[in-house]
Amino acid sequence: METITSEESYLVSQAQKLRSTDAASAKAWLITAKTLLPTSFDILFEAYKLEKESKNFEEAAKCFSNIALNFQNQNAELWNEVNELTNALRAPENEITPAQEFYVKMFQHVSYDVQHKILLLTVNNAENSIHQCKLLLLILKRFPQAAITHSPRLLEMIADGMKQNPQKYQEMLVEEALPLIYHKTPELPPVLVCRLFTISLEYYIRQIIDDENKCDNTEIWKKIFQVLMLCGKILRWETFLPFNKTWGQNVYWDKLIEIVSISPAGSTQVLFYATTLFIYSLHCYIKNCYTQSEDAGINHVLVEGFTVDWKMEAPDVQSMEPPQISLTTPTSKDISKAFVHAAQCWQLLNTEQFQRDFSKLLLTLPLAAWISRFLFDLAIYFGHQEEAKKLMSEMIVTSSLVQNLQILSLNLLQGNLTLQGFECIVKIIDELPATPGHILEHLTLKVPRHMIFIPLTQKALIQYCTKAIINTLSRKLYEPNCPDQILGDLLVLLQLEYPRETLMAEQIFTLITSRRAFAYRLFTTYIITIDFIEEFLHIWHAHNEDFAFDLSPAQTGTSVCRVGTRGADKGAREDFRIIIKQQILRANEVLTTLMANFIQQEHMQLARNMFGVTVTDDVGF
Amino acid sequence: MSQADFKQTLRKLDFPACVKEALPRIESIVVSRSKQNFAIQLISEFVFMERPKDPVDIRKGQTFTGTQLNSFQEFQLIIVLIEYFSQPGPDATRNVVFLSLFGSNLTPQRSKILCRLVSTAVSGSVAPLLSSAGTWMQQVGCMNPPSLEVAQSLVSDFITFSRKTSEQFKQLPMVAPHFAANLMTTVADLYMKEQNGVLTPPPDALLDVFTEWISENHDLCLASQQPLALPSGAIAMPVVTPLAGLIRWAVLSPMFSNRPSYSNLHLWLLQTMLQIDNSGPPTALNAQHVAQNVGPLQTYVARLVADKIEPTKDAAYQKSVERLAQAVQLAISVKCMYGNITQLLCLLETLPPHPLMTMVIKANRKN
Repeated sequence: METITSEESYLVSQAQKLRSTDAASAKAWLITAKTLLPTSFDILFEAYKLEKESKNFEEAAKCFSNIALNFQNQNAELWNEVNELTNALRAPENEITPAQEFYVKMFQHVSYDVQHKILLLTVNNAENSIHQCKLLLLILKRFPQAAITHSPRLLEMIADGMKQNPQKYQEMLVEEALPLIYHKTPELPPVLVCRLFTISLEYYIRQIIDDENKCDNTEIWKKIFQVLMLCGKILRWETFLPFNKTWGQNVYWDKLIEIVSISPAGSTQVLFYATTLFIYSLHCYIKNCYTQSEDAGINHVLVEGFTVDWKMEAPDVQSMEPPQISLTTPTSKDISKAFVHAAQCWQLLNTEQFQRDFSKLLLTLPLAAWISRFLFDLAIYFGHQEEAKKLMSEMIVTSSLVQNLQILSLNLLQGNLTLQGFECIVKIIDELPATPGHILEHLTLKVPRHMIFIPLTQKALIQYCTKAIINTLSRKLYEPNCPDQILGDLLVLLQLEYPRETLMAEQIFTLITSRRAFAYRLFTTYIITIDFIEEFLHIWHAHNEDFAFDLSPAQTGTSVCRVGTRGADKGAREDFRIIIKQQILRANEVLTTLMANFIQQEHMQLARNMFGVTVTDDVGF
Repeated sequence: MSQADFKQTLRKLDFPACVKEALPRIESIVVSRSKQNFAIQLISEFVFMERPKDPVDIRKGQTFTGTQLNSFQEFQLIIVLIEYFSQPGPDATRNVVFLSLFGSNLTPQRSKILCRLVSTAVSGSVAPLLSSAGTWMQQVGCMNPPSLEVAQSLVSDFITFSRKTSEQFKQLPMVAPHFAANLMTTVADLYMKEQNGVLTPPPDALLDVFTEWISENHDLCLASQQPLALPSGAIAMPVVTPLAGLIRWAVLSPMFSNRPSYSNLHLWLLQTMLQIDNSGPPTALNAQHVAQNVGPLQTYVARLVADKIEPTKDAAYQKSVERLAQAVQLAISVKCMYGNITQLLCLLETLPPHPLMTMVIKANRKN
């Protein structure tokens, strides 16, 4: 043994001596040495180094193959070379260094089989699992035909790796591993497949959340569905649908129902299909509700709609039938569809067969923020006030506007507007968004109960607040001796949607006519609707100008300036005409701004009239 | 047509028309392997224009007086022969005609024509003719005088009297590998051979060309072993590859040159041996030929000793033994050496000790 070592070192030293001066002789020494001591690592490695130095790719490849196949566990120098090689193979083509180029070229001279073997051996010798995974990926990329053999091992390792470095392994799975097996589907245990799907889902959801402002997530959803289809293919599930941006969730829901009908209770395929559809619907709904940037679109909030029968008490909130969701803006249709399907999936997934698995699955996904919003909306959708209240306290809403709107809506769901709800209205008016928007069409409907996705625009919000005040204030109409001030306030508010609410206006005018007197000091400030002014003029003429109108903007009731024929005060009569003329000139003013001013300026009076309380000015205006 | 009639017809023709006319007839005779004598007569009289044996012809008074072709006629003959050998047809036929034209006992005239013919074929890259010439070399023996003469003349034409080695000569391994290999065998024998105690090294240009040949055509040395295209029944002569001769060049060179070309030549020879398919019996290298290195080495050692120089301290001698040891080791390990290897090892042992040689002898003796 000792002589062999000394022979070995003699041969290597002779070659080394000649390496720089006479490479050919050095090679001749090593060729001879290899035949004398064919199992000597030192000699083979020296030969490899020599070929490498002279950039002799083919010969270097021969030496390298030989060493790598025969001396796997022995030498640090060898593994250093192997690492350099695999790093070079992994390096992107445009970032390759001249040193790496050698390895890449050399590897091309290694026979296909041996390439495969070298990489496989390398995997087993890699020092940690991330490195092993990278090498396996390299093998799969270089030897696509080996995908079926090696991919289970890789996927298993990735699933294991999730404990150590979730982000890295997630990315590796989704961006590198899965694309390699789409067309070469391996056999995998169901538990692993489900795990892989969950990992991918988590990865993609994070991506969606991270670039919240990029409005188009179509690509991501396409990929999620691709992974889902892949898992389905591996586990031989009923085929679901691929992603198609133009299909509504209903298409998927119908397919899901079809699969549910032929699946055993609690089957994994339904769990995963339904969960995917749930998250997809949830995302569409959340995206359009909460996450639009100012210029990309309008955010929406789910709120109670008003019902036409304004005399009625609060609708029967315990009704099992979920309310309809009325159209507000073009996108609200998609939002409500998405919401309804998310709700349907949620209900399906919370049946006993899936509940356990589904809640476990949810825990692994970064969906908490979406879900808490969704659950609140779900609670008010089903009219579960107590649950909604509880959820509201847990929910983190960054926009105070949204929060006030939600409190208001919850307040309206409970029945009458309360002082707290009114305070919300005042706050909403205080921080109206910049988008002007449009007056809504279906705010009030003749149904037991309905909901709307209200767009966060000036007009829609003012309309909603105004409507809420009208509904509360109008109850006073039926009380005896409803004060003129309430009648006046109602007329002011009714202007916004005029001529929609003519019935109530007519009632008020009848009441005023019957009283033969009407005092409203805010008349000049807020009544500008031409029909209303004409109605006043008509009353005035109908009573031969003998009507006690007190419409001047004087501040106190003590110095009442009565305008009437009885006093034969020509000056006062003239005043009435002037006031009417003035108001007519203002007929083109923007009503929404007028309403916002009215609510802002007169909130104390409104509160007093609605709730009979005196509001101090410290509610945060 | 009878033999006499054919001769009559040919005699009416001028030179070189008679050559053109005679060659197809010669071809059909030698292929059929009958009436060989007639073929010999035709070749002598109508190809090389040698003195007719048939007295009848003298009275014809034709110009047979001179037994030598003049330079122009030689030139004409070479043109006709190149044309003839360039024609398509079976290799075996061409080879047998070539062997009939140029046997192993050549008259000086035929030998001279042969040298010029081959030289012209090299210049013109006439592959079929060179292929036949390669076969001829093997059949007459690469190390025998006719081959040596052709080789010597090619070296003169393309190396010694040529300032720059011609591209055609450099391309020879591609055009006619078998011929190139045999040429190397023969040329190798011309140099580094102890004659009267003097070793003549090859011209540098020749060494460079050979090194280039081998480095670019890794199995060129083994091209000698390609089977010959001979008519059925003909016996192929034993093959001698250029390996032994070139190994001798590499081994003995350190004693009078340190040109890097020798290092490269040596390396490529080792690489060539590594290429040898060792499934059959060894054929590439004769142990006897390898043993021929020992004599000159011993002469050199004797001179060192006379000059009171320790052989183990002499770099040139060390290098020579090192190369010899490497060649022997490779040849044995790839099983390409035939002959008495044990005897060779014993002979090698008589040289002053060298660590590598000792290792090689030790490693191979036990087998």
